Amino acid sequence: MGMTTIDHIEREALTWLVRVNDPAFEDWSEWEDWLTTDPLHETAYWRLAEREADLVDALKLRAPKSVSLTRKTQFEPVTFRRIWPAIAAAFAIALGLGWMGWKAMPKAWTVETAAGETRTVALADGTRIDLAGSTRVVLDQRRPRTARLDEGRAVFTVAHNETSPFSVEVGDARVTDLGTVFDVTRLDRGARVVVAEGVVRVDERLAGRSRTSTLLAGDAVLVGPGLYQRRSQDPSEVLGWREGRLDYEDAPLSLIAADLSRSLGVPVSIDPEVATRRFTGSLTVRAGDPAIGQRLQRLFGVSVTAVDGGWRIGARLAT
Amino acid sequence: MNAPPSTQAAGLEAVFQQLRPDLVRRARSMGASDDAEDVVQDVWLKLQTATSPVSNPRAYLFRIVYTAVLDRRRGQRRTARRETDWLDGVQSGETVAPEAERAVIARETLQAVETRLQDLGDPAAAIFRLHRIEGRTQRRIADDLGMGLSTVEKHLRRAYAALLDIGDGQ
Repeated sequence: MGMTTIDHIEREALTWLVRVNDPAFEDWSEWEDWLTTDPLHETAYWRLAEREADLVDALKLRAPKSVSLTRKTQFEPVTFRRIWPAIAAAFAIALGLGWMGWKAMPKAWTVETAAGETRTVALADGTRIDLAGSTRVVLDQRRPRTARLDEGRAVFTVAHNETSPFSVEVGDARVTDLGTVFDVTRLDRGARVVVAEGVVRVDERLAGRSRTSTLLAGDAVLVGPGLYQRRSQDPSEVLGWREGRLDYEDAPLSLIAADLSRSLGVPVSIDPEVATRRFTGSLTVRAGDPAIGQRLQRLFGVSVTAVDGGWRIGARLAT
Repeated sequence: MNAPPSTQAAGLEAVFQQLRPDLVRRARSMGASDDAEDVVQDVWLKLQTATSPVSNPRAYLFRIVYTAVLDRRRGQRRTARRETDWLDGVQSGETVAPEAERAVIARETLQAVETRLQDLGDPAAAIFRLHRIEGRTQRRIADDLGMGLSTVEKHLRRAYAALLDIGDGQ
C-alpha cells in the first residue's frame, strides 16, 4: 500500500469514527460540536462512516452465527472429574508429593489413545482435553499450563486465567488460549487449529522467522512450512468428531483421509490424483462399520479398496 | 403478550418522550434536516422491540438516532447512485428492496474487504473483527488481550485506515 496524504479534517473524522463506533461511546455532544463546526467536517465524517458501515455489513455476511455449545450434556461427570484433581492437589500440597500419589511421579506424563478410541482428561486447573483416536498429549507437572500434542487431534476447553494463559505446543507452532474452546490437529508437516469459542493466538517458529495469527470463534487455520491457509468454520461443527461426525467445508480429501484413519483406527491412504479434490459435507463415522467403504465411494465419487487392514482411496474406475 | 410493559420499558419510553425535542434537534444537526421527525419516529418504533436492559438511556437513544441518520444517508446514497446509473443509460432493473440491495452490495464488497484484512494482519485485523462484528467494547478487548486501551485504539485506527484506503495519519 502506498503512502496516502490525508488532510487534517479527514484525520479528525477518522478519530471520531473510531470513537463513535465503540459501543461504550457516550460523548455525543462533543461529537456533534465538532461535526457542526464546519460543513467539511460533516462531509468527511459521513463519507467515512457510510463506507465503513458498508464494509462491516459485508464482513457480517461471512461471520459465523453465534452458537451455544452443549458442553454440559457431552461431558458429565465433569463435576466429579473437577473435584478429584483439586482434592488430589490439596492432598499433594499437604504432603509435598506429586499430586498423583505417594510415589514420586515422573515430571512429564503422557496421555495416549489407541486408534478409534476417544478419551477425556481433566487437568487440575479445570482445563478439559478431549482426545481423538491415535492421539498423544504430553503434560508436564513443572509447566502446568502447557500441553504438547505430539500426534493426533484434541479439543481443549481451557479454564481461562489471564495471568497464566494455557498453551498447546504442536510441532513448531504454539497455540495460546486467550479464553477459548479450540481444536488442534497435528498434521504431517504442521497443524490445524479451529476455534469454537473465544480467542486463540498461534505462534509459529519457521526457518528464519516467526509468524503469529490471532483466531476468533469461527476461524480455522492450517499452518506449517510453506503452508498457511485460513478459512471460516462454523463453531458448532468443530467438535462434531466427538460424536462420530466429521464436518468439512471445502476440505481436501487428503485431510479427510487422515481424519478417517484416526476415527476408524485403520490406515487410510489416498492416491495423489484424488488427494487434492475438495469436499463439503458431513460424515458419520463408526469404527468397524463394514459399509464405510461403499459410503465413501458414493460420497466422494472415488474408488475405495480394502488393503492391508485399511482402505485405499483412488480415482473412480471407468466402467 | 397482554402483560403490562416492564418497568424498564416504561422508563425508557418516559425518557424518550422527555428527550424527544432534543432528539429531533440532534437528528437535524446530524444532517437529517427534512427527515428529522421521521428519524425520531423510527427511533420510537425501534424502542418498542428493545428487550435488553439499558444502563444509560440518554446515550442509548442518541446512539439509535445516530444509527438511524447513518442508515438513511446510506440509503440516499444508494438511491442517488442508482439514479446516476439510469442517467448513464445503465438499466437498473425493477425496484429492489433495501435489504436485498444491501446484500448484493455486501457480497461484492466482501472479497475485497477480506483481502484487505488479511494484508493488514493480526492483531489489528482480529481486533477489528472483535470490535465491529462481535461488538466488544475497546475496553473489553484491551482486557481480553492484555493490551492498553490506547494500543487497541491504535490498532483499530490502522484497521479502519486500511479498509477505507486512506492514510491513518500516524
